Amino acid sequence: MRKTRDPNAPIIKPGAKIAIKWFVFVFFAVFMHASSTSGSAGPKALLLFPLAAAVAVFETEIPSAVFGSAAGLLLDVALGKLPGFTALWLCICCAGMSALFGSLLRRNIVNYLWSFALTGGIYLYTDYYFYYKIWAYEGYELVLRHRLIPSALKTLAWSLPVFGAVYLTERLCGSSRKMKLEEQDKNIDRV
Amino acid sequence: MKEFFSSKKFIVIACIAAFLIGIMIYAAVSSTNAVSSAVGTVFAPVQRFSQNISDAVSETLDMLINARDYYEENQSLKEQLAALYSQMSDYTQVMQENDHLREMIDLAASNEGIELSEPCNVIGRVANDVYGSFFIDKGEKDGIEYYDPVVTANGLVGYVTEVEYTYSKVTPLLSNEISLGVYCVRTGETGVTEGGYELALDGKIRMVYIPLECQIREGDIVITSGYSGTVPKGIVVGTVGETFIASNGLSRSGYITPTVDPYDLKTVFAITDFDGKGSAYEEN
Repeated sequence: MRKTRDPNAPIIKPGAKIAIKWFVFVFFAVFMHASSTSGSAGPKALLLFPLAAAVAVFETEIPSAVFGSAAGLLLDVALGKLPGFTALWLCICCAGMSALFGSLLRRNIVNYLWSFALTGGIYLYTDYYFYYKIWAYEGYELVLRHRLIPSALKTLAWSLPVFGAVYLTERLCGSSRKMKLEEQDKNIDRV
Repeated sequence: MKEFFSSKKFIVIACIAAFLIGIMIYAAVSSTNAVSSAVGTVFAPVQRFSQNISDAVSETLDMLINARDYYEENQSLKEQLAALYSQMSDYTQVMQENDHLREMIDLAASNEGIELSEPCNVIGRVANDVYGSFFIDKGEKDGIEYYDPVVTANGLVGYVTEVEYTYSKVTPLLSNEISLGVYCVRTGETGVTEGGYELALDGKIRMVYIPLECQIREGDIVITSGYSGTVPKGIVVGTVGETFIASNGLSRSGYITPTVDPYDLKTVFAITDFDGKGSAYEEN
């Protein structure tokens, strides 16, 4: 007897959807790492930062922390910083953001933007403090004005399309909530 | 909140954070680290591919956007060419001067003991670095070592400051971490170069400890003295710009424009060995 396909069954299995989703995120990460070390000189947008934050908006704490750590390590290599410096920060921030969005905040672009701007701002200051200000080399303030702030502004501007890309990926590949209408049960007394 | 801190989630996240702190400590206490090396090995082909695309796009855009500038530059070069033709009569004199300069810097002798690496391609740049540090596609497996000088045909670029198995990081002369002994080809007066953030933004370095009564003037060529044992003698560093009395009043300082622009490099060479390498360290 020929097996008939359940019309309610999804075309792509949920497991495959998850795999595709993470493959897309990893692809984004590789592309963004390459883009930050290519091209002309000057301040660059650090796209891995908003990517990790956007993933944290939609994922649970542990995947967010792992993805944030990996993205942070890539950023450390791209920025020539001590491996683990950005990774540790992104690990904590992504886990925190994920917990916040899971229980307190609505998953929308406004909440994403302010939370990303806040975490990014703190990172910017720690980067400036530990890599430049603490050593007080001649003209260290210029780095803030000519490199770090322009780079941060570019990153903030790019965070919108990055959020859009992650949102679309989640919509297309994420697990969706299914609601089923059941027939009226006459045994239930409705007031 | 209390429940969260005793949950498995928190323990896993704390473990990841502890692992990352471990990586940081390991990276801080060792000259090379497995994380950078592994990431670099995996991403080197991607970086190279991305850099090629970026270069192609930049060149095309540059041609389209700067067509007028190139036209003007062409006109100016034509004028310069005409001026050069008129200077042909001084050719013999220039040749003699050139020979004299060659004798002075003893280029031939200094080149004899130099061992160059294979051509190293620039595969990526350190993001947001003021000095223009970049990555090359040669590493430990190609015989590159920490603090090898990096050069092009035009002069000294900088030093290798990070060596991984398949790639290395080069820090240009503009960096405030690099100082080297130099002297003026024409006058023989010596000095020491140093970089800084402000100077790097103008693409310059500073030459300090020049004698107060020096004869150095704008346009003079400065080459390495080789005294430190970190770089061979006689490699061109740059041309002298404005000079001024240093703030201590005991010596003069001057700006130097390096002959090699680190932002404009595609291929470089590392000097893997040279006569007198490390001699300054051995003496100490």
